Amino acid sequence: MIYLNQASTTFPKPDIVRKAYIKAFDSIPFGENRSNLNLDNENLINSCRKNLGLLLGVKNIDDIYFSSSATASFNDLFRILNLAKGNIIISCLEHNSVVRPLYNFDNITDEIRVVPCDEYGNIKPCDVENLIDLNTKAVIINQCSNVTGSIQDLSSISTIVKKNHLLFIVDASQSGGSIPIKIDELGIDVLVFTGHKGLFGVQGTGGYYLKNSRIYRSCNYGGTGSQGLKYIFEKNDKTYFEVGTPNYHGLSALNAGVKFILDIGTDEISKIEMGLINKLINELRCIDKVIVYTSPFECKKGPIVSFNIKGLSSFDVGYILENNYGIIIRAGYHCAPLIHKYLKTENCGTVRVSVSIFNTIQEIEAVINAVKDIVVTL
Amino acid sequence: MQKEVVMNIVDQKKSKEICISVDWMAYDFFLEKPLSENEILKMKSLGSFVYLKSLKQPFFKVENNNFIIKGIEGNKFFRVSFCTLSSQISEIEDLIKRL
Repeated sequence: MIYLNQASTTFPKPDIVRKAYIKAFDSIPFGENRSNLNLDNENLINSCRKNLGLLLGVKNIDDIYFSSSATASFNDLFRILNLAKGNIIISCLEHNSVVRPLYNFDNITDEIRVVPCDEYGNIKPCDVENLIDLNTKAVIINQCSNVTGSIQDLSSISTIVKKNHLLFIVDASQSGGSIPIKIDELGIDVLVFTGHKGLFGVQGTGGYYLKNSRIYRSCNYGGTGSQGLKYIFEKNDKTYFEVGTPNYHGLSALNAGVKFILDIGTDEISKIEMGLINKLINELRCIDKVIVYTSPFECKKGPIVSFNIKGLSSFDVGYILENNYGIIIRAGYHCAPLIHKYLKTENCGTVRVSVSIFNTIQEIEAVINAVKDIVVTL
Repeated sequence: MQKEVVMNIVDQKKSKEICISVDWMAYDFFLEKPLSENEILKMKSLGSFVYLKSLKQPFFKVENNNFIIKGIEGNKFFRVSFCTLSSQISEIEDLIKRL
């Protein structure tokens, strides 16, 4: 099997991630504030926070919190941030982790305004600016589209957002690990990440950065391993954004994944992945009946290519690639419901190939040859 | 006179393929023998037909308003996606068996 569905979850993981996970599994359980066992392990969660701070360009690592996923993070954040009584601007690239909570929770916001994109999934900063008015509370941007791999100009958007004194919220689920991010430098107020994609952790890990988190109240209550007799919390009491037993095993793996990325560097990772992606884009564009939705230009891209073959649905292409060629990709809408209107793929979705640094040029050539084979038969 | 049963479907299980609409569901049908060209061609009568015969292992798809059947010649399984509002999986199975 050739695995090219890295945007869903990365495989394989670096060996140090596997070892860290097994080590956590084989070690006597320690409990953060929940055991008299006092090992170096206890610092692991903070070590993960520290490494994430280095990777994401955050000085104040106490504003980084862990959760079970990017989706869980957004569900919490929308209740923490108090964005009601106004409008929120989102890009059409947003994943359902953003779109569904916003459109389904009551009292999150009065109005959602959607920034359009071009045929490759690029949004224009001026289109963000045009949607802002006095009632706008926040702007949410997906740094890297999980459909086309387009990367958004966070720097220009940040300037606009800051000029208007709004909250700048970034979804780095697809970009984390593959694309450099500088939270402090870009003036990002909130950034959400997932652990199991480009950060090479395991599923069930994720989290968020929340600037000046001390000014907010958590939306969850539960065990924290501290203040054990206290069960009623007043407005001015300490608030806990991480409640319940932490996912120590998962965070061990995530910490190792982040260390792996720091050792190589996101620029180097991006360079390797772009080599694979650009070859795929260039070759696919030369094949008759293939429509490529990822930009062919020499711009910065995420490790993703979307395409279709005229005359076949994306699901059919996915079926053929799996059952005829042993190639695993993802077909369909990729949990990003708004972008397809702009790509004109509402009826068919797209075939998405996504890579990590563990993929090879031979695997990319296998996709190209398979697509050529399929097209010839049409 | 009853038609001859040509395809022996031995098992079926819910497919992992994500369907386009919530009203659609997919099952993989498992066969006793690998799917032959003749068996595929018999399904042509069920709807619009795509047959990519020159692939190393030919792909086929039959589609109508109620269901989509797709598979690969030589495999011992194929996939049936259907609209739960208009069809039952047992009816489709019966239809295929009696082709």
